[in-house]
Amino acid sequence: MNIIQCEELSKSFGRNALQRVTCTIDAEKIIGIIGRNGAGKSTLLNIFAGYLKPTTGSCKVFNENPFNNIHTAANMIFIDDQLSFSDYLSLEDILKMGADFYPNWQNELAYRMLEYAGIDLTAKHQQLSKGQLATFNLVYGLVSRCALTILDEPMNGMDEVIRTDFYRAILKEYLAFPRTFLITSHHLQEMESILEEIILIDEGSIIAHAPLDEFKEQLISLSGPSDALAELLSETEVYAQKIMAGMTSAIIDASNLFISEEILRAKGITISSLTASEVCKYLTSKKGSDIDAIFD
Amino acid sequence: MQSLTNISLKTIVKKQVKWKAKLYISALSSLVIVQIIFGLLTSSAGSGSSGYGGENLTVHFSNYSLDTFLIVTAIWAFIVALLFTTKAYRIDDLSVISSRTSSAIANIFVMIIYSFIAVIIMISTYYLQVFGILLVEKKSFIIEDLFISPSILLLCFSSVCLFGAIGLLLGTSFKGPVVIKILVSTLLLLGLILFFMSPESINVRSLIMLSNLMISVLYLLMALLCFSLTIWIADKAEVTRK
Repeated sequence: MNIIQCEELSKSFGRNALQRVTCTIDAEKIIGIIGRNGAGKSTLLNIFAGYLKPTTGSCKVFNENPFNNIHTAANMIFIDDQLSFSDYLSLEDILKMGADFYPNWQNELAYRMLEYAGIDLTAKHQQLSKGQLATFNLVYGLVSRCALTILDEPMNGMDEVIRTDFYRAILKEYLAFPRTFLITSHHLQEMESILEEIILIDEGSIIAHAPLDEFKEQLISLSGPSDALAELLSETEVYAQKIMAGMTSAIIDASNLFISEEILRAKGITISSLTASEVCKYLTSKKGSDIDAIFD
Repeated sequence: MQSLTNISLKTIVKKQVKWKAKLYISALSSLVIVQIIFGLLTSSAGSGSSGYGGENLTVHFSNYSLDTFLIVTAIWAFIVALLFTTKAYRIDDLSVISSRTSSAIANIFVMIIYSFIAVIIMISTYYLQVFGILLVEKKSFIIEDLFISPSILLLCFSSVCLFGAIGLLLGTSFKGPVVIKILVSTLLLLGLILFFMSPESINVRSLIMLSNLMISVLYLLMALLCFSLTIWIADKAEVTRK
């Protein structure tokens, strides 16, 4: 069942933040929303949350227009680094308030997770360090158990150990109480193990939306003698290429490779797969852009 | 799929009012402090004074009334209402189940409750001042009317409520769509020009001649209009957090 449907969705703030986005998001999946800074990820999530109104096109969350919709608000939680609470509330009070609002709230779980992270419940939200703040916000989002949990850069500021632990916490919570997670993060490599699908956004458009394995198979890396690869590369789109000592390595679209692996191997060309993070990097890199070129 | 939660707007507003009324309580304590300071400052001269003197006699009158306390409370209500619509308060609302509409309605209810409490604080401070002066100036103190009638109470409440409503409307307007921002700015500018260029054109004499009850009803109707406009604008507002 779909919980989000977007049709030709655009949002403009003077410049186009989103351009004709069409997508469908299924229920009970963990989906990574990936893209470079300023790609339009947060704008899309803000529209899903009902905070922003699309300039054109339509968006439906739980079959309703999410904009300023109380039904969407009751079934969705948006966690990002802007989450804030009154200065007069201790963390314990915040948990009490959460329990008062969210019907599926898990107070016991919140206490256990915060104790594990070493966060003092008598502290105020504003007194927490950056990492603690991110941890508390994530716990708040997890224990609310909303049908749609949006996590915008939830691990920002956390140390590596806590990050690894909390990716597991997200997975465990998902298994205990299946719901839809939309997660944006710059740490795709760390997050890969829990994602089922990836939506890749670049310059305001969705350029890929696929299950993780399918997504990783979109691009492949070919390495071999430059002479043997030259003809092959001239017939296909090359995302990146490096030549060194007569050897070439190139990244190409897997769907454009019509030669069998045996023939390639006979020519001394090896095929290797890429990680999701690498696929994202190549799909969103501007052609010909190379940091090394700046220093040459 | 996990069954969806169905919570009515009414339930959310109730919860928001409960938490907001508790969390914004410092606004009321600030009013108590302001009123006490104001009561002390005006304890020697009152809200107005006059006097005359002859060869051996000098007479000095000091009037102590609710008017000045009401003005302070009304200004307080306006500022507090404006504060309720500032970014910090609006972002706090997003941490729980809420919509802009539910938050606006909750703010209105909190403002109404606070207006009522503010009137009680105002009257208490007034009586405290009267009591203090009575202790100091036993002989020369003349009490004209110590009992505050219900119609005066209603007038005070409606005045404070109206100023709160204007504050909420003004604050919300600047968070609403661009068209509303431009419209409100233009109206404010025109109002200021009219006020400074031709103050005689603003005639409130006919309003003052009305009975307390009529003025109260008029104020409450104006407050209702401001509240309705606040909800209407909030319903159209996007969330800006950066």
